[in-house]
Amino acid sequence: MTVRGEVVLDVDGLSVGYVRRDGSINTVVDSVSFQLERGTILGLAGESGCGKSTTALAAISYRAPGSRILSGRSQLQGVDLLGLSTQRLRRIWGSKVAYVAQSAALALNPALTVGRQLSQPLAVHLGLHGSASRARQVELLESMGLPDPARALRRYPFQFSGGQQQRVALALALSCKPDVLILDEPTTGLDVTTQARITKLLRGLVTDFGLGCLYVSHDLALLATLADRLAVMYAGEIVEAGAAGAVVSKQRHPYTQALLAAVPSVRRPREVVGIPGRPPTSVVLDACAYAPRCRYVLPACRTGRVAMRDPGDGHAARCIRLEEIEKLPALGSELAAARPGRDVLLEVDGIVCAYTGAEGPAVNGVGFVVHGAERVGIVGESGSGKSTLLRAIAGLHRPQAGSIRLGGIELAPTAVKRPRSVRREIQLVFQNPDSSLNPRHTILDIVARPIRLFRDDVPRARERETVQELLDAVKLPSGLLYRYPAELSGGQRQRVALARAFSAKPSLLLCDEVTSALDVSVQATILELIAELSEQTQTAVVWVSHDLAVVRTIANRALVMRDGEVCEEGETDELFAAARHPYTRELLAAIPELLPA
Amino acid sequence: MTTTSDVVGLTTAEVVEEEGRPPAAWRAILASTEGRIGVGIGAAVLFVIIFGRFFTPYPPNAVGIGGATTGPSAAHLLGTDSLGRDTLSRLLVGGTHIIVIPLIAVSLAWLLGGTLGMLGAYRGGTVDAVIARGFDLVMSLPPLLIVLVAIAALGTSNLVLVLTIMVVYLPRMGRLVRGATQAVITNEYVAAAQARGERTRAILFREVLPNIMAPTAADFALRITYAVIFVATLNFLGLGVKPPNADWGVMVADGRGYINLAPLGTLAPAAAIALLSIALNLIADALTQHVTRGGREIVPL
Amino acid sequence: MRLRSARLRTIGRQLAAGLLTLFLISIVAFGMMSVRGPADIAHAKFGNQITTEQIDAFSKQYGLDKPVYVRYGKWLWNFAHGDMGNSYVTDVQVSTNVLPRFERTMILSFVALLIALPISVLIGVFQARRVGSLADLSLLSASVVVAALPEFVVGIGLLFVFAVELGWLPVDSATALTFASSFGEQAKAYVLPTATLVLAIVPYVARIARGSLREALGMPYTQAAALRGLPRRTVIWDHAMRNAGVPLVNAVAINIVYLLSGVIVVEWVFAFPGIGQGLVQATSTSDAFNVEAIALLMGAMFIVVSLAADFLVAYLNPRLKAAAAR
Ligand SMILES: Nc1ncnc2c1ncn2[C@@H]1O[C@H](COP(=O)(O)OP(=O)(O)OP(=O)(O)O)[C@@H](O)[C@H]1O
Ligand code: SF4
Ligand SMILES: [Mg+2]
Repeated sequence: MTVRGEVVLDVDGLSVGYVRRDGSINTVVDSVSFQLERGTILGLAGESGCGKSTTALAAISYRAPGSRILSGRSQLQGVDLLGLSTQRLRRIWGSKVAYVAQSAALALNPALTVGRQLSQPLAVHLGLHGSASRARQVELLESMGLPDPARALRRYPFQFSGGQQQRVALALALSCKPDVLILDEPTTGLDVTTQARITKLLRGLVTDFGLGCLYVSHDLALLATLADRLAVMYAGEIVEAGAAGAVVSKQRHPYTQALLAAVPSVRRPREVVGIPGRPPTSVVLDACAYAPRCRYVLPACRTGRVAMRDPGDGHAARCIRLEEIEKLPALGSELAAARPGRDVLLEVDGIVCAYTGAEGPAVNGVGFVVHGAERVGIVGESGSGKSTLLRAIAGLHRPQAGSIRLGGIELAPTAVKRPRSVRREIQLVFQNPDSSLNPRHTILDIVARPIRLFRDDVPRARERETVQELLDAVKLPSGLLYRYPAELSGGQRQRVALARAFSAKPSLLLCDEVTSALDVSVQATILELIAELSEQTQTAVVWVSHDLAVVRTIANRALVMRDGEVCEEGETDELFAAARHPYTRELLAAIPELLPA
Repeated sequence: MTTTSDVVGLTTAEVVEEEGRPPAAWRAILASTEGRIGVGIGAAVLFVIIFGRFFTPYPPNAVGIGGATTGPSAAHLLGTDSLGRDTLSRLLVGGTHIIVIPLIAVSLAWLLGGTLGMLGAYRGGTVDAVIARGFDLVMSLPPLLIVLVAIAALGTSNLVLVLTIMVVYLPRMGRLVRGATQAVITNEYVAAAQARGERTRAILFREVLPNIMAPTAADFALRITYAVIFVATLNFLGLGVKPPNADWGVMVADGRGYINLAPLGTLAPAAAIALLSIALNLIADALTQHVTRGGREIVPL
Repeated sequence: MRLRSARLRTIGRQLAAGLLTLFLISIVAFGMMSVRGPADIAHAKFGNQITTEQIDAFSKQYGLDKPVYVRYGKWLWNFAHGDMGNSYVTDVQVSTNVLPRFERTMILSFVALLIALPISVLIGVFQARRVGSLADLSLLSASVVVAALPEFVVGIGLLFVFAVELGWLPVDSATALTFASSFGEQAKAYVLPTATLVLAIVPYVARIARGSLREALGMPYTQAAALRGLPRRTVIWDHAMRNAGVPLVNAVAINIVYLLSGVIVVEWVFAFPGIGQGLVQATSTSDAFNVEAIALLMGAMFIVVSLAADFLVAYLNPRLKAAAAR
């Protein structure tokens, strides 16, 4: 019965909006069409807010709170789901179409055992009870590769790791043998190695069960390796669609091209190119939505809506110049390498950090040096101790043992105890700009604070001027001095955090996952900026990240951490080209890659 | 409007058109219907409480001005009580106590409890454990019970009322501030301040306090309403204001004895208390709604 | 299993905490009531003319000449054995005054809870299901207004309407309870006090129920459950309510002591001869043994209610295992 290629879900002209507070409708998804075929995965890519999740939910006729499906059809084996009553939909959801949300930790009910959650759809849709139901539950968990299924049934979701939770969520989704599987960012937030295992399992399931699968993700590289077909969304429209390989190798839409140029790679050091500007917040119907940011824009692009066009090979794009775009060379060039000095700036030696109540130490005897103006990356999966190490250097976490020297001088374990000059020289930038900027302070207050504390060369009267210079240096538009952080975009907030760090004129910048909360195109602009500023001011950077490709892009030397210890260290070029430690190799192998080896 | 900054191609269109800083508390109150009604009623009742004393038709404590326990008449719009005192006059002066005592007691509780709570949450460790245990201990005692025992032991006076009510609310308000502070200090801007080497006082006042004001203000408003009810209740029970001073709670209690002869003697002060309390509650609720607003919308089923 | 033992441990801890609180109440009550010296007490009882010898004799008779801790120890020991002492204000045995009152108050409070809790939860669920609708908003406004009314105002209002104007129910519960013999007449005395308490409890609890269920209904796991095609009943009562239950019961537990304190006022309004009324009387006459005995009994009652809530939380919350393991 599993005929590969048979269309199981046919979505046509789907438009969705959200009701604004004043009652008007904000259309965020417009005329989206796609088909899901048995045994294949359709990847839906795009940046935050472009309407991926809205599309995925509307396609199975789920009306999210405040949303309105404005038009379109979504046919499951000849039945239009969008016209069905909730009653009838309930018979289809869970049995014919299954949905897996981004975070399994949130999508599994914390108050019910895994067994109880599994038993419910089995009873409702298949009429399985008692031992028959139990047998099926065990079988399901087994096929998802969960160890000791019988015991797992009695446990609660929070007693599993993140990867195991996602396996449980998959078991739930597949419990009633659906035809269609919709996944919304199912591996976002998981470690790369875990992600690799889950996607491998998924690939097998899709083939074995002949599922028509929609895989929503912001990660183009991941979709390029996993999906059969790929659709790229921008501002609520699909702007390019085709076979995954074709889309990735010869982009026909400038947005796809720019997006791919923004993705860093572990294969070679390449300059990532950001996309200036921001997408519109609702669909644009009277012009090409990408026109304000497009480098190939023509007057004709603004005269009317651009239609999806397929030159005849099943690879369509929404661009009037698609034939030309396709022939352009990929954006991006070789990255200018950092020029480290010869003097040792930071010396870390035998650092041990432990949290009370934790089993082992979070950081266990780590030592390394940073030279002046050098950019050192520290990579590792979650829980490897990289953030704790950084906090110890910053004087936010008191180490149990070890020493930290800056310019040859031993540093006190806590920041308050360190002399003012040391606190000035070491500056920190955090992961989440939402939480690193005080929402009750203006941008001026935020950036001026270190100047007031550390810069004797700036008299009070010149503070405002100095702040403005810094904001210019991080390329923020003028007029933001008296704004509050909530009024800025995520990327802009991260620039403010950078301005604050550079305002003290540091010699060492500690960066903790600075770009991981940002979209790739924004991440690229921030990476460009940090490279440029650290170069100009000869500031050394310690860059902590879980993302090897980002480290490859920004750092000239890297450390790989695992379970609180450094397992490999070297110049990035050598380290990534020829890793020696098996763990580093495992990490590298797990990373989805766009570029050929 | 999209002026391109000269440095790169970023435009001011990048700026999100969102509300920046949440509005001040009073503006949040006035923004909701509920809050506006509350402020309206509250202002009227407060006017009576503050200025009513200048408009009394008779001296409020003068006995035997009219006949004992009479119903409403032209001379005595709300009738008289069992001692022949004019109910309207007593009503006009009888609201001071139940608003002044709560204001003082709750403010003290807020200052002390808030300081302890903030300090405990920020310091953590033993300091926090001691403070939190202390709060728990006091909170495990039933409030009305503590106050009654205190009055039984020490007799009643304004000082005893203020102090015992403060003791009742201190841990409750302290706990809220402690929780709010705990949530705020996980933010990285606090870590950033610590890394700059800022002093504890600077961190608490500059970084933490502005961010816990909103929930704290809502809690403060709520506590005031509880305390007003509390004091009114004590007065009703005859454990607060001493005769012959007029007070709404006391009037309700006295009037209860002759409720079938002159119902207004008890119903009028009861209505006054109810209006004050409803007004305060509406204001507090508007503030609470404002603080807890947002949240996810419910899933359609 | 480990889960069960963790629960047992939590429950054990709460039981110990309850006993500790009771102990604390006894110390606070006894300590505070000892602030007044024997001379004050004697003067209050016999007037200001009595001589020093008479005061000495009085304090010997009641053991007031002994140090506080000795008196406290003796009192606690006797209390634990059912002897609550003699009031030195009324000279009546404390137990004959307090125990019948305690029984009536217990009946009153538990009947009120039994009626109020289910009603509140149902109202809360009704509202949470249609957040933002006219019905929800009207109920919300109504609850703000009703919650704002002090118990004695509500009580007086009910009294005026049902006892004075309509004459259906007794104005004075004490007379009804002491002199009326038939069960029906006795029961009538409970109606208005119970109704007042119920009106005090419902708006609070319904609000909390609405809030916590609303929160749970917005969670991703609720969406996930709906998207598995489960019946509405299962989604609301199994998926959402199980999660809403923990904060709900917790909040109720914290507020219940507050709300049940209302029983003191309610009894006073209706002249209902329970321990609340007894406490107010004893307070105004500074009747030490009666105040202490009632404080302890009321404390015990409140603690039993909070413990019941704690048991329920322990039963509802699987995370207690994680908490205990940490
Ligand atoms: N409940 C809602 N009410 C109003 N607008 C919404 C709502 N949910 C999403 N939107 C808007 O709809 C648009 C599309 O959102 P959607 O969540 O579908 O994007 P997405 O591509 O899934 O983003 P992400 O990658 O961040 O998950 C956005 O502009 C968003 O602001
Ligand atoms: S249609 Fe024009 S503006 Fe739009 S993407 Fe193509 S070239 Fe750029
Ligand atoms: Mg999404």
